[in-house]
Amino acid sequence: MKKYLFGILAAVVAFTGVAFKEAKSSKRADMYVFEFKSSQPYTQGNVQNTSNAYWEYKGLNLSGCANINQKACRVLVSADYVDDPDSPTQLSGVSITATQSGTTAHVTGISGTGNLYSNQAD
Amino acid sequence: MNTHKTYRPSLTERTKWTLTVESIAAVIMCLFLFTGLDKLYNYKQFRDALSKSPVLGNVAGLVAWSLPVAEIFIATALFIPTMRKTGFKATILLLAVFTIYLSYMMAFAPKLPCMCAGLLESLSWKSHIIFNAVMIVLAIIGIVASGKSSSVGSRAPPS
Repeated sequence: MKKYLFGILAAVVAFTGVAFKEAKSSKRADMYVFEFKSSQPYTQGNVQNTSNAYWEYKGLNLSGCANINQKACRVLVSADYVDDPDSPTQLSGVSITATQSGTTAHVTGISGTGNLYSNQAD
Repeated sequence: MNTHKTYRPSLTERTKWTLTVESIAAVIMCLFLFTGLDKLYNYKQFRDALSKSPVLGNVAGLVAWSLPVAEIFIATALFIPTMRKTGFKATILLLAVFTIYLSYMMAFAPKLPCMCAGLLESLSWKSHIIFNAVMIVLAIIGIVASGKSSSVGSRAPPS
């Protein structure tokens, strides 16, 4: 039993750590992640259009993109800016600002406190 | 006259090596259990983050479950004293592959967010490489100490 003592201690610390982390993250407000549809042309007009024809819902609390300002990738918004927080299908009450550079447009701004955006490499 | 000499191994030295092995195994075990469980718990997010990787994008689904399973297997190997050496070797292999991946990412996609577990999430790519190197060194010390702890006192007594 003695030779397993360190291992048992390590397992307890690891499990406690995971439980603590999950408890902490569950208190954080959920962020709804929408991604610009890669099938659509990355024009300024399309990127600024918040309809689900251009921005599709990907999931909750997902990470952003590489943040290379070449073409639009993802926006992360709080529950106030989606059509239905229980079953979101599109952005609502939020405006996206984009800048065209060459053949693609990238996001340069998003309205709403705490909302985030990230672009990707072309 | 008693001609039989009693050879008493240095118990303190053996204990020292055993303690070293057990401490290192516990640290690495804790790390792998924590990161493995965290990845499984946040499977969806982890898989999504991998799918954004330029290297692992195509195999994101496979890596998303096989990596945490491998981490938990290594943690289990480190828990069992007879499998500890194998656990240390697997640790070195896994961390070496991970470090190569991190180096590639640092060179080609340095701004991609790191989907690491717990405290490691706040580390930069560079800090993560340093952290991995420290863990690899610990695992090497673990292998050496495993050898020492089993050989001390088991050698033939001096004539």
